[in-house]
Amino acid sequence: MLEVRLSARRRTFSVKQRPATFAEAGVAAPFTTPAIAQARLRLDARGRMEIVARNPTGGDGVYVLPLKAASEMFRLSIHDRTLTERLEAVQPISPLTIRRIGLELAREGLAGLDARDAALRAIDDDEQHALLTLLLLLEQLLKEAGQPRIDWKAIDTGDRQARERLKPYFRRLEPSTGMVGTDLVSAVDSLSALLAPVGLEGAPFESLAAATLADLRKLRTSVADWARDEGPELAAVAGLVVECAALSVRCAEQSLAKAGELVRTVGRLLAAHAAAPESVGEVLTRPIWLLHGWRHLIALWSSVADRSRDVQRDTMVELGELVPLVPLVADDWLNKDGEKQRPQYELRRHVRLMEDWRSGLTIERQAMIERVQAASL
Amino acid sequence: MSAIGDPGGALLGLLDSVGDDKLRQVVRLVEATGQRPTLEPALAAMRPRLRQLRPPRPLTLSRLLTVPFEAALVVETSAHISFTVCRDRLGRWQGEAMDGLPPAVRERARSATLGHGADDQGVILAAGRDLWPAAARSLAAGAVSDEEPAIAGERHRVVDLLAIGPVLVPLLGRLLPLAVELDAEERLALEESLALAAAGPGDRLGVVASILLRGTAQPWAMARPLVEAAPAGHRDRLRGLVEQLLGEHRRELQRRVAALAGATEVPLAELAATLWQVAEALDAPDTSAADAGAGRGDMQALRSQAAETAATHYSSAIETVVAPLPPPGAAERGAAVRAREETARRLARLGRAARRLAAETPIHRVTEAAVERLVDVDAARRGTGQPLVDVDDARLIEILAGPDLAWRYLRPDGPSDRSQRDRRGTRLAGPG
Repeated sequence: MLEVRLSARRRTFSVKQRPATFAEAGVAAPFTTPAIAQARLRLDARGRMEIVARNPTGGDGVYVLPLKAASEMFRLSIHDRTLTERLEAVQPISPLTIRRIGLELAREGLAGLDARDAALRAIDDDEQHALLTLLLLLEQLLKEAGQPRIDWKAIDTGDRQARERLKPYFRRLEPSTGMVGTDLVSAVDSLSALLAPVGLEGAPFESLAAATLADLRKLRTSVADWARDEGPELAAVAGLVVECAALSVRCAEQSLAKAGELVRTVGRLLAAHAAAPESVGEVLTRPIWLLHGWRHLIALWSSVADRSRDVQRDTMVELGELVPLVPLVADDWLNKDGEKQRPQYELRRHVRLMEDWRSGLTIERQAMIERVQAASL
Repeated sequence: MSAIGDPGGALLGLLDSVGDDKLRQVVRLVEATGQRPTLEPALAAMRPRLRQLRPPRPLTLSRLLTVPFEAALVVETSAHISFTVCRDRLGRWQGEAMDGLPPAVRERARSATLGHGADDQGVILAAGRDLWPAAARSLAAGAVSDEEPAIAGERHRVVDLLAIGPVLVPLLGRLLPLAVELDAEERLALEESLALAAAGPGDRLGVVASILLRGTAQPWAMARPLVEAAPAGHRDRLRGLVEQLLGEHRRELQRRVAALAGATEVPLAELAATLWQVAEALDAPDTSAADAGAGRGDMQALRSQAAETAATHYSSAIETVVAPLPPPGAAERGAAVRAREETARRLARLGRAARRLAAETPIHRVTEAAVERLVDVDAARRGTGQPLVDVDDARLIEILAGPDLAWRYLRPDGPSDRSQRDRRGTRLAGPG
């Protein structure tokens, strides 16, 4: 047998360890170096980016290190060297900006061909969704202003000049919105960029948030079913995953509804956005923040759907380590009570000698992370 | 699938050429359609790789019956190890045991296993509790007086393991694969297993010792903890048995390495898996300490031969891996890149095995030379001011030689890792 158990014990996470704010939780980054896979990025007290990674020894706790020290502490993959370079130029750091960088790197082939193909599809979809959202917002604005509607037959969403053809419609809206054409185009454009991943009522596509929410519900059910045949230790980890998934689902549903309300009158949304773009952006992107990090877990769990129970147990431990904990600030949105006490178990992880993420011999593990990444884009 | 008609040859070649995910799918299909016995020869050849991939296996009645003696099974070609059960006779023992089972016991076990997997420990223990002792009785009743001594010995072994199955299986479940370092719970399970073995008749102590040593990646490292965990009055006897088993194991490894050394058609995945296993087995700090039957020279000879075998195969295989790809844009380029990366990962594993076996192995030099040839080919196609390799080749270099070298070729003029600019002022956007 090639497997060896090493002493890799750790206590289970607890929902009690939830961060206070989204800023404290940070944003999960698509690192492919196994030691920092799905590590979170956040800002330190001086506004510099830092990485919050799992304890590289496999024990309790997390490691917090400056982003620029990552290459000194870990032997980063070429994907992650490029990623850390690109992160320098990113402002602000958010799930959507990190997703955009992840897609760019994947499109360049740095995460392998499966990820490249998935990224090409996702980028194409994102562009189409943004344009369709812009069209729907424009259509709604025209309706609110009592103007003639868009001639849909003249618009080809696959055409790169489609935005140009919309200029006459925007000009018609100048009197009702009080904005000049270019400002109006720019405002609707940035709103559609915010709204496309969240989704818009009546949109002819499934948004990123809607797709993630649907997959997250499935994950919650699948993990809950799986846990029924497990002993108390892994059932506790699965319980944590289910509970966090349920909380994310509830919060995301509510914040999606809130975003939907805001979009009901596009003219008013436009005015609010012009007055306070950050506040509007915050409300509209809440679902994305709440669902952020789950796509990797969904793809990871689905990658072991037809594997042996032992492999699924190892993966469940990993899910427990990576599970996105909804910040406490979200409780206010749900008027949720404080967390209940629960027993904490100690987990023993079975790892293969010299193949684990702590061994430094990580080629196979990196390949697995790349496959999961391709499935989660 | 014409390969089905020739399970030993064409199918083996086919299975070796597919990636891990595809192989897992094939095994799942084979299991689901009940074709496993027919295709066993081809699958047996893939065993080291399958052991790593761990495809899910349904818990059939035959599989449940085999659980207590599964860890004692060896294939005929490696049957020079004492206290084992020959895999070729597995069907015979299963058949005889099954025939004599009371129908009620058989039905209860069959319905308990329905829909469960072979790694469903709780179901196995619950369903096996009645089945194994009943199977032991059935098998013991089938013994005849003029049975060949080897067969009779093996029957006795299987009967004994089945009889103590309800106690032994949970203990082995907690122990196997045997850890390099045991925690208190595992040490207790080991002591209980050895006490059960020492209290048994005939060769039970040898059988359990063999199972435990074969169930660890580092048998030499485990020799001393094993002896120390035995009941006080049985330690000398166990020490002798362990020395005998380790001697046999070393000779078995020598045979396998010798077979690989002369082979030209061994699939790379099998080669890498086997030599990795040898490297792991020899990784103990003092591999000759518990193997009094073999001198340090024998162990060193095995290590050298394995290292040389790994290095030789590595040197020839890397040439294929760094051969030019179809040009970018060509229809077959994607499949070629995927296949090349899969092969490179296996090759990298083989290289790591070689380095574990002998630090002075030329793997590093061979790899760098191959990479340089790859870069020359690539650079000839490129203009100045561009990366020396494209991303696909950079990824190949990363797999074979690590990210540092790959980065130097991909970003020859890029900033070094330690000269990153200060990121002060970056902003985290979001809802609080």
